[in-house]
Amino acid sequence: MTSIIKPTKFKRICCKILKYVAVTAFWILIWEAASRILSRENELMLLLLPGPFKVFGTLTEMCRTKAFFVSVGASLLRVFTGFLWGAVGGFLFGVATHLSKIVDSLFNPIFKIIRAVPVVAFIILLYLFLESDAVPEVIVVLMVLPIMWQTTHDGLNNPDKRLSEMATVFELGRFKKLYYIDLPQISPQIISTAVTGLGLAWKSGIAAEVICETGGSLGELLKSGKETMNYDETYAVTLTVIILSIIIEFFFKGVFRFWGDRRVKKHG
Amino acid sequence: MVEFKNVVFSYEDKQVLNGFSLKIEKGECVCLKGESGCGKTTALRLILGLETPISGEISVPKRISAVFQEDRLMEHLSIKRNIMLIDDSDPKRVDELLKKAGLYEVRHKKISLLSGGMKRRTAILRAVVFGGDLLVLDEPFNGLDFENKRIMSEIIREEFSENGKSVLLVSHIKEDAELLDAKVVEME
Repeated sequence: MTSIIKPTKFKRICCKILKYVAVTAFWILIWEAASRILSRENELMLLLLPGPFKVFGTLTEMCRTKAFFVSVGASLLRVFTGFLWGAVGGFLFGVATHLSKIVDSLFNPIFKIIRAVPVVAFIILLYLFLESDAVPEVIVVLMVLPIMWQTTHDGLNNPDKRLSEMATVFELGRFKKLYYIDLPQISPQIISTAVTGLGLAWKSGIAAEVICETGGSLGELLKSGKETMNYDETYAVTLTVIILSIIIEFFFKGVFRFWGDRRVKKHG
Repeated sequence: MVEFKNVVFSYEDKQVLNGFSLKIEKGECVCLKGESGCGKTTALRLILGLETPISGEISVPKRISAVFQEDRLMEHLSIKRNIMLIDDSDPKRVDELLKKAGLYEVRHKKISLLSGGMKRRTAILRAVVFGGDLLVLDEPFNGLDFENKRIMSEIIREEFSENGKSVLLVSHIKEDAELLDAKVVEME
């Protein structure tokens, strides 16, 4: 089946792409200008703030090595695994604390404490007990779990009053109400939290890799660039992290939208 | 069957019902009429157990069905799914009722895609399928044309009044009470 893009839609997409390209080009030019001006005054600055073309060149070089892709793959796997555990766990705990007051009393303060503790403190503390390979994954779980729990818990505890009354009158069971009324009602917030959590997972996961010097990771590449004074490498890895973050966010938004549509079709 | 004895109810400092009494016999259809804010909907909410009276006595049957002033349907589900969510609903009976109400052809359509009249008819059918010994209707025919009002009132009469079950209607419109052969009770 072929899809026909209407001229107006096509025009809108083109305008959007052009806008992104123009904005990106503008900031790349600013970066290049800043690098040139600063390096004219002090040559060391060329090392500390290499221009974008030098960084892109380094990135292209890195992309030619297998080790780079192994590091990217390993970091992605760690972050994804942690994110999934955190998101699913947070959601299930949210449902559990909504359904049971005892579970709520037990876990509510724990999640609030986890949220309040700075991520660096967690990384250092966990590094006392865990291998450097395991820390980033656990950190990601600890970052995503409380925010997902909070969204699920708050959403379920503030249901639509009118639909809740309807459920009472028509004697819908607790689980039927949860599945058909409460969860669809909070699904937009859950999706939005998942997208936010993904960004958070990515940042905290890479930070943990840097601090714990996790072998074969993007974090390790970031740190080694700094230690060997190949700052262009550090910039290239940072650029990789940014690009991957955008791709992941885009991909997950698509997946969540697809999942939401399927759910509506299934029950509708 | 349904009895209010000197019921007093107020929302914070606003008294809505002051010594309200009402009796509805088995199989009887009663229409509560009165000005806005006189407590008609509050009386229905008390019957449904959604509010608790300050004083007085209310006796109601165990299983009560309702059509609320708003549709209160699950927008992401289809017409049929909204009705079939009720436990023990018989699919064949639901299909028959959908045909009678003129909703059979669109039974798989999501509620969010329906017109106001279709949503209203779905809300009425859900209440009919739930059954029970008493049906409370709060402005049930809002947004329906005369033909659809007639069809829906016929379904209600067949399923409730003619089966010895009671109906309590709240409506401003005289025609609604006439369609259900309801005894009109004026509220002050």
